[in-house]
Amino acid sequence: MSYDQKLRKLREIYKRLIGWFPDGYRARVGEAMLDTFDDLSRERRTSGSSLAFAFGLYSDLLFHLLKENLMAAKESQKLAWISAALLVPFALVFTIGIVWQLLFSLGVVGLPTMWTAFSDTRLAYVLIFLFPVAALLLSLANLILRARRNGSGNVLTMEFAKANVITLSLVITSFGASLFLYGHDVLPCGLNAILSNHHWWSLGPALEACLQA
Amino acid sequence: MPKSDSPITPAVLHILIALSEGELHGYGIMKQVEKDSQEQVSMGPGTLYGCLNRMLEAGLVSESNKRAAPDLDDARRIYYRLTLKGKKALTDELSRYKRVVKLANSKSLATFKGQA
Repeated sequence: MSYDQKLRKLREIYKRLIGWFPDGYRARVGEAMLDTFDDLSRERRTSGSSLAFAFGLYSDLLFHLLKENLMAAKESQKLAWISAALLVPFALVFTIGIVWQLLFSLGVVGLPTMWTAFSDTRLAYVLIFLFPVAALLLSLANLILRARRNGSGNVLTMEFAKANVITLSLVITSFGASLFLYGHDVLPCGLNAILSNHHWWSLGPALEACLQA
Repeated sequence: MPKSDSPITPAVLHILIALSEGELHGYGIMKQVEKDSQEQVSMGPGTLYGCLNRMLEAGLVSESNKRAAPDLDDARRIYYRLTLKGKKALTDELSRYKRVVKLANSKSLATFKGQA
């Protein structure tokens, strides 16, 4: 592939990435950004490799893409921020759990257990098991609100998905977290416990028995 | 969003200074900032347009219609210029810097150098 062909390809990708900036930002400076890409590629045509050029430009672009989207989300999506905050304890325990499992498999630490991190198991239940469900409900509510504001006919479109990418990501993440927490062991075990040992209203003790098993 | 009487970021200040001598397109601003700072400050397109976006929103700069850029093979480019509000923000910021330097001098902060 010639240098010009590579540049055309890089330009196409750059243009697509600009499309992921928030609407207002893209409308104000999106076109000028692409012009500057052309100017910089003209400058680099005589010096430097396309790889170094692409790395510098894309790392700068991706950093600001993330930053601008977060800033736009911060301005307009309070519910999304609350949902994200609710997922933090689970994400921390999940990450620590993976590292711990790895160290355990290497024989460095003992058997991983979440309860060593919490002296109060009730607090752990709330932070780890209830917060992700609350995040799922909140982000779903947020998505429904946005869909209603947008008009029901425009919900299943790429524009709607792009405009609500953070809310959609949170719905998927919190759903995944909830499924991991409840679908993995707790839900089948809890149901079994309720059906075999407990009354239907004794969900708390049943879950506790499953979690400590 | 920078207010005319509040401190503005170093990147915004560099852009205001670059535009103080006349209209420039995005690439021109990047080059002017490099030149003004004797290549101490280098701005990527992300930083530049992040600042320009906020400056446009705040009314510190405005854009002119696309026109040919003789320095870039006559390619048509969007030019940016300072607004009255932008000029005032630059003047205020430079005055603030002067006051800070004056304050530092009045407290003989140069002695810190010897104590360090």
